[in-house]
Amino acid sequence: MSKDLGDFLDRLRKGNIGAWKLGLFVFLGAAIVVNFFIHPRHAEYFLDNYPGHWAVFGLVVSVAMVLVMKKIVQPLLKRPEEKDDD
Amino acid sequence: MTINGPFFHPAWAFLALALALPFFRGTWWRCLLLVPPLIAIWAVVHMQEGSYGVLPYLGQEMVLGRVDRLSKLFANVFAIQALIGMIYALHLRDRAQHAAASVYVAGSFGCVFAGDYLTLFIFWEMMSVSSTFLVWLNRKPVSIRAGLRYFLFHTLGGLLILAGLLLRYRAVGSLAFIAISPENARFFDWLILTGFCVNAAAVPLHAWLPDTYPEATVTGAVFMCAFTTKTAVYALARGFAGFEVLTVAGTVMAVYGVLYAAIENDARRILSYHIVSQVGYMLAGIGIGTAMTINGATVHAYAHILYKGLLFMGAGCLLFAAGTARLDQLGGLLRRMPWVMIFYMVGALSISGVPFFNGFVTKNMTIHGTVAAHREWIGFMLEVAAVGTFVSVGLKLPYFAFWAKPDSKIELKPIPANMYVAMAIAAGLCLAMGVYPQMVYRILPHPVFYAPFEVYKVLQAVLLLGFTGLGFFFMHTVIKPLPARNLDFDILYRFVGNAFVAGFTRPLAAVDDIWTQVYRRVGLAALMGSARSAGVFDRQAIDTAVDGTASTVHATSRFFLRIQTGRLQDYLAWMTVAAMLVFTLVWWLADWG
Repeated sequence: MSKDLGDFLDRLRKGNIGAWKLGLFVFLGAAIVVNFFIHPRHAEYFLDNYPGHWAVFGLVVSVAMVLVMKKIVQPLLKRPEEKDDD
Repeated sequence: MTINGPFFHPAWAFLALALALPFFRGTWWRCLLLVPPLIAIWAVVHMQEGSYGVLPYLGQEMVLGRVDRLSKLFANVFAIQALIGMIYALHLRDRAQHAAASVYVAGSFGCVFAGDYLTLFIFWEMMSVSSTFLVWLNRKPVSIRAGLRYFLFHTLGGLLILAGLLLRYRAVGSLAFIAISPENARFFDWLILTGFCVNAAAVPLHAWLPDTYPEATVTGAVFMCAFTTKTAVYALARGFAGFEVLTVAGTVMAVYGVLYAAIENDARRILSYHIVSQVGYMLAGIGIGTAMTINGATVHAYAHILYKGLLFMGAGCLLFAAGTARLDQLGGLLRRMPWVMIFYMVGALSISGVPFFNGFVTKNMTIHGTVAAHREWIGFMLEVAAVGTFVSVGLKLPYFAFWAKPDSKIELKPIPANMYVAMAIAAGLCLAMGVYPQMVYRILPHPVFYAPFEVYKVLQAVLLLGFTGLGFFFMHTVIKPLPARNLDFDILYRFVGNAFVAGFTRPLAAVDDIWTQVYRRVGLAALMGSARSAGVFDRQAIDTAVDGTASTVHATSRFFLRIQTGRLQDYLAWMTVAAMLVFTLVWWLADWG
């Protein structure tokens, strides 16, 4: 059963990557479109009044976090890993 | 209120198991591992609110069983997680690991039901010692060192609590473990608070956690990720709700943890930093201290125990099967470990707050509570942490473990069925709680006025996490894990340790060395001189006295030997002499008197 499932997931993984990407973009685009019609009952932040702002927030924060931590912070903090038999 | 109703302290069942384990032989005893957790679940379900096990001690009352909504909530999830953890460890034949885990879980139950600081402290230390063994029993040099650092740091935390409770007792005359209002907190309360914050892994006291958990045993880490920090969360919620410092510390933790997780390589270290982050949400909620944020913090602790245990079980499977949890050495395992991936992903989607997984119904309650308490910036930073959580735990870790590379050819050890069963139970509970949050909402400390599934809230989560996924898609080559260890505050306590060695141990050793030389040169010579004097004294004084006594006894004996002639007339003569002496003495005494 584990092997069958593994093979199935592997086929999905190696399938049409382009279709997966297209599916993701369509889903995300649809979510923003829906946001134009669905608003919070009470805006917790003033930005809640602008459709798609949580999308921008997620994208900007994730990209900025990875860039800052990997490109600026990690080179300063990086040390060799501790070996098991040290 | 003391009630003599039915109450069974779950800790006793675990302690009994730990005490009995050394005497078992063979392998049959492993079925007994499930008995204490099942007893604990039964006990927690059936216990009524009240105070039980009240013992007089030093003029105070030690309360072993304070049962109320808060303690029952934590005991409830502790019992469930203990069962899951024991099932996950069922294949292990190492009785020492099971004993350490049992004592550890017993300590957690002891803390949760403690009604006074002394009881709390005893069980707190029990947890500290037994969890150290869960690290040491990994039996690798790196684990031994990490365990020692862990133990020293927790000893420091324990001492802060001990100092606080003793000073508090002297000042207020009570050891009762009750809520302290921020306005009335005195310096000893701050000591106790700091001690709790050590176990809660509050930044900058957190470094022991990501330093140690990745070095614990595969099964030990599953217990440790659930109990230590959450027992501290319970203690803070019980004693220090409304302390602003916790709000600040919690928010810093939430963001700090995700930032470090973004650059870590070891799967269990990534998850460890996310404990810091997730406990940050809880501390922020406790610090704000409204009914909704306390509910949010405690229900998030409940959910966190389930999904974090599941995540550590998934990462533990990687380590168990592949022999490493370092992401740069993993990848392409999807086809060979599909069930591990599926169960892991349930935990990952839960911690990320994806709708219909349990993190969604708990994390958002905390964030909503902070905003409702007009702390918008706190809520905003917690959303930043939510993005970082999905990046590292939801995307980076599974991507680099299961995808990322072509099919992995590394040798994999088969994973025992019990590990899958434990993960399946945890995954089922994460989903059940996510779909039907009322199962936990109804046992929270305060009435719940929060609707998690409003359409906008679901849409907000979809947008936030969906576009975080897009960000990861753009950044997946940048975030590739590197085989490196990143400096953290542990460098501070390693520095303090080394400074202690340099500042105290080495100078003391040098002084000791000099003292040894002085002793050899001066002390030893003086000792030899005094020994010679004693010899002379012994020969001249002691021996003379002893010899003199001996010769006197000898002479007296010879005299008495001589007068015993055996002739009657000699004895009569001596009797006459003696009688005359007696008569003279009596006459003289009578005359003198």
